[in-house]
Amino acid sequence: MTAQSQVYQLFSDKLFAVCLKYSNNYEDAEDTLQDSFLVIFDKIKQYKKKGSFEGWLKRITINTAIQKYRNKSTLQIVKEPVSDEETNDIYFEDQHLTIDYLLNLIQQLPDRYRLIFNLYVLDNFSHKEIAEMLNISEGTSKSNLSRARALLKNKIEAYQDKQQEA
Amino acid sequence: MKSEKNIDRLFQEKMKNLEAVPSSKVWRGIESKLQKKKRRVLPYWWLSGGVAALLIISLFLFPIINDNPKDIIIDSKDVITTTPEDLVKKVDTSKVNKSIIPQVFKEEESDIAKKDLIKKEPNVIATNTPSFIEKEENVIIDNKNEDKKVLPITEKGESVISLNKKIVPSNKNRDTILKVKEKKKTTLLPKKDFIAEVNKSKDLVEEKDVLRNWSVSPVFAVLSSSSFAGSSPLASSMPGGSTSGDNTYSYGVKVNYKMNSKWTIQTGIHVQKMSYSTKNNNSTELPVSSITAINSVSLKPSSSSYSFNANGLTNTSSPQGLMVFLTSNDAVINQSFDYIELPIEIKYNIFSGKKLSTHVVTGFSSLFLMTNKLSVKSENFSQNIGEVNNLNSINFSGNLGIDFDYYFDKHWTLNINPMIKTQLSTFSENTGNFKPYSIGVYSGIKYSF
Repeated sequence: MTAQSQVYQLFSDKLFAVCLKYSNNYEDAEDTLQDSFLVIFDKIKQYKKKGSFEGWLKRITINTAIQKYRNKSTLQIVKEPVSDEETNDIYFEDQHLTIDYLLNLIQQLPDRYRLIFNLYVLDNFSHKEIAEMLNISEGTSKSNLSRARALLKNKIEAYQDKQQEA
Repeated sequence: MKSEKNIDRLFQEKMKNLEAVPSSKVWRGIESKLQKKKRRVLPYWWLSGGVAALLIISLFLFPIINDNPKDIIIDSKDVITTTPEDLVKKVDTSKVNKSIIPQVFKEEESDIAKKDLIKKEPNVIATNTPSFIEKEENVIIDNKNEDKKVLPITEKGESVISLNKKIVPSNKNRDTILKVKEKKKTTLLPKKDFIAEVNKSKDLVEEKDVLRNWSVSPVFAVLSSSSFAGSSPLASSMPGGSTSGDNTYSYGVKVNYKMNSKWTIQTGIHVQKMSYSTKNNNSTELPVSSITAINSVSLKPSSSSYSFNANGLTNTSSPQGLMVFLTSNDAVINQSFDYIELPIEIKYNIFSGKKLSTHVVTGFSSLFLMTNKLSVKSENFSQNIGEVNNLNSINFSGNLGIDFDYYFDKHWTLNINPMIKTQLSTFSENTGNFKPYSIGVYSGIKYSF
């Protein structure tokens, strides 16, 4: 038990951040963290010492989070083609953009957009990997990512406009 | 300066160092689930074995635990003996009032002189509680002297208390009588309490007599081993092979704990013998060694000299060359396995009369394999040839039966208990649908305490 609690103490903060990013609220994030650690302690013997331990832990946590929303998402997001270039040249002034605010924005994204945005932008998975993980096509992954970026962009712009008015 | 960033980079930069402390309930949740999991790892036969062991241990501890109710009864007596003197007197008079006074008044009714009565009453009581009654005597005698009208009134009274109530109005000025009245009043409550106490302790004693919770009985059973599928893996590997169950026996000790009038828990420890015989119904001689073809059998080298058919058993390596032990058709390969059986059963009372009671019994047993033997047998010959290696060392059986108790007296009971016990995991592999069960009549003399 002590070894397990040590692992928990060392990594729970970082893994909880992962859970927060991949979940749509705080409670779900805690649930995911708990489930992830149970998987980790169950499979800890399977860790092959290839690559970093933290990377392994993070991967399990991401998988657990995805699993959760894959089970949940009976509502499939309709495939909507959006051109890729549209969103890449948006720029922001980030002075007033706190971590809490940005995290909140991510959490508010529809489930699949959020997963894809996290996987691609924050955790450097390729569209091919994402397609496999979420059991969708690469094209869907790409178009969902663009939609996610567009949604985020709109929200941030609206937020900044409000701030300037204030 | 306002730095401008691509939306991806904005999030990457900001989220890069995100760390958050989860609430402590997350770890508590993990901890409790880990512990649950660990608990689940215990094999479930531990449970049954554990419960059996617990019951047996508690049986040995029973005499110690059993002392407690006795202590309680003694306590109630102690209360009486250790109370202050005057309280004791009150209690005693209340007792005396109840038991003796009515008698006195009955006598009074039968035309005995009233003077005599009053003398009589103190006398009778005086033998029980001299010190207190002396006072009463004085008072009553005073009454007699002062006011004779009192007595006709008391004639109808049924207790000393009513007597006093009637006396007092006519003697309002007399201090001594008032005192007595006060004293009588105070005795009212202790009187009730005491009677309640007496009743309670009586109940306790009675209850103890009725509830003989524990009983032990040595049991012996004649078993008939059988199986749901006709032939064992052994038989199915032989052309013309067939398997039948043999009569065996079981013996051991049963322990019962009666939880209430309906439910009883039963455990114990038994030695259970199971035996199956496989015949060769063909006339073709089958060398015993050929059954090694089944990988679930390991034979001793010496077994290779035996062969058998429908007509008998032969030993090809005997000095006489070919020796026929028997010509009758009872040559068999016998498979016997003995178990130590730890049953956990629950009994439900469906009928209980004065001499007889009947229970339905159900439960399961953990069976620990003790002997595993394969032998060739004929009427007057038996030779161990090896063992079967697909038997599980731990096996379980589901048990169902009816239990009849015939009471000789408070302690001794004759117990007859027909049971069917279906084994659940006899073999680890190559079972061929061979599911052994046993039907047996368990009988024993039960001692309850």
